[in-house]
Amino acid sequence: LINRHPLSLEHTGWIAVILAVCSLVAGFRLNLAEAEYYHGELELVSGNYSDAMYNFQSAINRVHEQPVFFAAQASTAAGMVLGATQAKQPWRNLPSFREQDVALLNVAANDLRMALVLSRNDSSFWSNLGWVESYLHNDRLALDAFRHAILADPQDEISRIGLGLFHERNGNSELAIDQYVYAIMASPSLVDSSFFCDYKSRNSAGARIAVSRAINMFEKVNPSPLVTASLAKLHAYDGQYQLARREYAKALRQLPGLSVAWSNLGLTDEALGDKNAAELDFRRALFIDAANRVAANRLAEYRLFDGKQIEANAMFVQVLVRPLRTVHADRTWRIYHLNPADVDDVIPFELLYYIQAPIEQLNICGYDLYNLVRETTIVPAVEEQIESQEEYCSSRLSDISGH
Amino acid sequence: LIINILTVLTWLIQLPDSLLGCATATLLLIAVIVIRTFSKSSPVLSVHLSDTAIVVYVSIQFATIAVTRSRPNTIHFILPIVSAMCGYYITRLHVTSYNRLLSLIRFSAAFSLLLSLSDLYIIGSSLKGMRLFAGFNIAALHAYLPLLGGSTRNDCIMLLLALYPFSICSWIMERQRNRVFYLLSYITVASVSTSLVLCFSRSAYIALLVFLSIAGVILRRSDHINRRASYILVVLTALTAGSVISYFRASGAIAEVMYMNKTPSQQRSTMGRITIWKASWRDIIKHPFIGIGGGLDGYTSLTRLGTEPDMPFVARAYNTPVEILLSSGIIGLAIYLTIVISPLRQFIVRRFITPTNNLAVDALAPPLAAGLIAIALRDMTYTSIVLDGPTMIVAWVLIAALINCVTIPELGGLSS
Repeated sequence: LINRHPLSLEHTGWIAVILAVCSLVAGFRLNLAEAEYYHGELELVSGNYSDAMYNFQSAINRVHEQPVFFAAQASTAAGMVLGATQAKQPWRNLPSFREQDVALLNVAANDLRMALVLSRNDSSFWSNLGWVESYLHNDRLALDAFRHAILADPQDEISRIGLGLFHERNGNSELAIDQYVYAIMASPSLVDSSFFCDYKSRNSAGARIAVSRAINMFEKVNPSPLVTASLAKLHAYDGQYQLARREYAKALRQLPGLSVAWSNLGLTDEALGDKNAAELDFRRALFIDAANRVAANRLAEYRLFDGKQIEANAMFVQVLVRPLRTVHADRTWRIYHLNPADVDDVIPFELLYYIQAPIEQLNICGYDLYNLVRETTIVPAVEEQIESQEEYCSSRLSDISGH
Repeated sequence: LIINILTVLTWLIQLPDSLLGCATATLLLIAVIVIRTFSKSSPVLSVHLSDTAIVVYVSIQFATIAVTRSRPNTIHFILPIVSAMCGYYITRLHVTSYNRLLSLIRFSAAFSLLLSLSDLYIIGSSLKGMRLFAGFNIAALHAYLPLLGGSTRNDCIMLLLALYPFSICSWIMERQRNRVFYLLSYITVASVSTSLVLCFSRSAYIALLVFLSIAGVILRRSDHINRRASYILVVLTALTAGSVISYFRASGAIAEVMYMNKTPSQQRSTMGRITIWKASWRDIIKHPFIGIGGGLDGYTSLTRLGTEPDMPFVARAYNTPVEILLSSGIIGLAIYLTIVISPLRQFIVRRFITPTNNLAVDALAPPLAAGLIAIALRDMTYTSIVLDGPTMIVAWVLIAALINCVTIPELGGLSS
């Protein structure tokens, strides 16, 4: 029947043209909204929050069904408030804000709720909402949002840490440890972070319990290269370097594409005094993932030691200026067909850097470095790292002049 | 120069997925129909089952907008399909003479040569870097090779596989026609073959084997193929591929891929796909007739993270029929199968049941038909011909060219 209709091939071609025009009409409005969004993204990255808000709102006015537009507007509104005021001890208390800042945080909360109406299972939206409600001191709503975040993605360590810090603020340290155990299981490299260092200094027994419980739980799950590499990281943290090296070797022999495992093996080899093996491990880690900050940081030091100043400078600049990416930002295109407004789409902004291994300051200072840094586009999120390197260089300079 | 070529190629390859690409394709289609309407010499073309089926398939995608969870995603899903539909109709309506078919094949072969050389260049630089992993299985690392030609490495492989039949057609058509293009066609076949051999993918190797076997067996009996020239082609291709493999010391890795399911990364790849198919099947059962709408794999995967924490996050079903069932339901799959199977059925009838000594049917249609089978087979473990705009365009142009070859006698040109 389908082949016996009275239309000629040209007629069918015209029907195809009509369908194509329909899709162009549908796509045109979306394309305009996305152009506004990407313009807003540029403004956000440059730190022009008001212009970014305007662009994101224009995108929302054109297309109401894209959750990323709402999430981007929420991040911008939260950034306007939180960018200047960072919580010094998020496990103890969060700051209070002026009336106009509270209004902006409410805008952020409402935008995140709109995003969640459109995409209910996005744990990152829930976690961000949890933080915004925490800053608004709406503890009940914050707890509810963090719990939803964990239900939506139990492997999301950022939500786990958000909830853990929430419990600590409310004096529930046992509940906090539970969340930190799962966070360590999701990302064992967390033990190298400033967050875990702070946690260890305020609750060393809790940190020990969290790591040993994570080891116990890993030993009970089905063995796989990923589990073995995770166990190796925790054994290395425990000081069992030989065991960790054997476990890394076993995991990477089976699955050599694990960049973080290679850089962790490099750190273990360094601890065992095998610098040559460590250098090869870091080079392998960087080959698989050019954005591996730990590997680039360590290799920059090796190059510096070898007298290869130019290579060391270039590598260290990459470490300084390359912004960290969240797992959610990596997934955003695949979920929503849009790039994220910011590769660090976590609220509050300093949290992602707080749960990663900090940059080791290297003795790379002077005009060469600053020229290289200036040639790169700097986003506000990495300014702090550059400032701290500048402080390091100034302190070294004053040491030298003192001598 | 190389960076500029790579930039232009990347831009061109991404074009079908964009609104600009879709608008360009629509304008070209309108121009072709208008020219055809006013041209008196154009042969009368009968409507093929696939012509109608393609229009119905695209209409179903519009119907899914009513049920989709995310209209923006479904619109993004539709745009490359519309670009591919325009490509299909442009080929059907415009490629109606021997010279036009020659132009299409020359263009496709030139594109595949450029693409495969660029791909070999970047894979080559990357394989050199893989010497860091001496003693490790390179095949397990192939996912980290840099990309060209699609959103993933697998898309790039599919694009090359879809263009491969045009390279073979170019080699057949250019003999006794143009020496320069004939020489280039040898280089193209050798270069595309080498790129495909270096893809470290089990399903791509199977598809390549199927393509070469079917095309080889059918063409062996053709009067239009020079036996000596075909031996030269085989030897040249084998020498090129062999030298490149030996230079990059990739023979061990290729042999390991051939062992099928031996290494942990292969086992993870197989088991991961089976898990994803099962999970997709559960979603298909909930929306069996019209599906959930296109471009929603990421959303569905996000939903699964909470209920099935062991599931990996994926944005595709890793199987074309499953992907179509998920996005457009049973109706969509039935129509898609019609688009693919009906030209193959007609090719079998014209080539074997009522054979003619026509170049198009006898020598050009076999590689195109074998290519169609190969890409369909390769996509049983991936979804490029449903989700990737460039691959979709090449695949649908290939279907249109196959239909024209077996239905328009003028395409046989001088030999008809």
